[in-house]
Amino acid sequence: MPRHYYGHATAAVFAPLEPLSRPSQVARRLSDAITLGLLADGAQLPGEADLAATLGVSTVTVREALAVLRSDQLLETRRGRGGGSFVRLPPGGVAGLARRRLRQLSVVELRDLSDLYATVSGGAAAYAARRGTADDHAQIRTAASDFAAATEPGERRRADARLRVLVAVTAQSPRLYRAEVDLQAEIGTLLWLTLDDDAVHGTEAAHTRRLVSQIARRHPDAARSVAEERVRGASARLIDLRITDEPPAEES
Amino acid sequence: MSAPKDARAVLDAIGEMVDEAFATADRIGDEVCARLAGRPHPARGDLSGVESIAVAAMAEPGSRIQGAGFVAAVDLLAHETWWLEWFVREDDGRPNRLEVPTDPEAMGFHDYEPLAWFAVPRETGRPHITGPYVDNLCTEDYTLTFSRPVLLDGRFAGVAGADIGVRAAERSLLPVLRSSSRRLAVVNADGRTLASNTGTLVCGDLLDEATTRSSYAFRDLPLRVVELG
Repeated sequence: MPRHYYGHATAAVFAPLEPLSRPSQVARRLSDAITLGLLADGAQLPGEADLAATLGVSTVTVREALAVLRSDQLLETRRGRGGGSFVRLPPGGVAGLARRRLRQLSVVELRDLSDLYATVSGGAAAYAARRGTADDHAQIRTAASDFAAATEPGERRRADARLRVLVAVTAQSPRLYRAEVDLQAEIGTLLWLTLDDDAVHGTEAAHTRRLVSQIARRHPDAARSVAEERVRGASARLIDLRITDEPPAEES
Repeated sequence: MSAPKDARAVLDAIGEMVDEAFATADRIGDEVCARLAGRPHPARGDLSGVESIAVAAMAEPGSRIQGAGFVAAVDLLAHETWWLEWFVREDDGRPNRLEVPTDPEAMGFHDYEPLAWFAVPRETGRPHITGPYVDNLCTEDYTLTFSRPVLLDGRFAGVAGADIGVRAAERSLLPVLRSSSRRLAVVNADGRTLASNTGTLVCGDLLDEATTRSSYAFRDLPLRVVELG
């Protein structure tokens, strides 16, 4: 079948409903959950039937997805009593997994994803500045201090995730909230790779303090610009990492 | 000040919605009281009657209820420090138990004690309406939560409650708002808009009190109808 072009929105309207196969989508969701830390190392996955019901797919699809994750060495399946599928993190933990994903993305894809994340974060910050109450400000301020005080990489990631979700929730927008959590899985997890460095973390903490103060002062434009700037800075550091992380020529 | 006719119609529409939510919460609260009375060490199984009440409320034709249940005070139950006996209606209409991490060591655990729908009824001893808010901790919906304290021998044992989605609330309120010739909005105690008949102040927006011409309280609950200038 030839590919038709009807006009500028063709890609949005006439693209296949699901670009990835069902098993790949399920595998992707589960590996997102692992990278986000929702499924910890050694955690047992729900049974195939439960997973199928939760995700609204057939058990055959789930089985194929689990096979993909096993071949990526993210899952271990044990038979018999006490058996089931267990999460197995690669060496280096979630960071190792994020690094693996980082290598699969080109610089231009990373830049494009970061642009979208900056736009969503900026938009959420602007609406949070419009719609936040004093209570919302207090919660965001606490989350920002938790982020600044966090020392362990995992702790920093969770605090950052929480702060970003709170900003999206304060925007009073279910769509922005969904966009934030989707992008957190897709690119947030990669940006977190740069947070292990104390100097970078310090810079980010300073940024979040400015963000909080602009939201609390109800300055939407300033809040948007700080939030966008924060993603742009993190994305530049991530792209540096991506470029220096390039495997030797014979491997690529 | 007594409300003019159109504002009163909006207050009545709010009343219908609020009564539906609190009737469900009351039935759940009564069930929990009846089952837990005189039991020094209640357990999860003692809450088994909550499910049928919540499911029936959600299944009624035209029901606005999106979720309902009981959330236990910390340390109320033997074996479960934190516990939500809560049921939700899925998009396809099926009822489902809401499972959230209640083990404080688990990833995704969040202490519900400081949250308004739990804390306000505990502190004031009175029913409360939380929202509109994006519930990022339980259901991920844009919702209103109606909750009331459950007391056992005068001691706080948890909250019974019901959720109504913001879309369902809008369906209930928009017809009466539309039929008013004045600019009216329904806002909560923070001045956060739930519904209105103007595009310049919509759900989620904060009311600028300076633009308010008059304000009509809804009983002694944190919702009111305002007329905009």
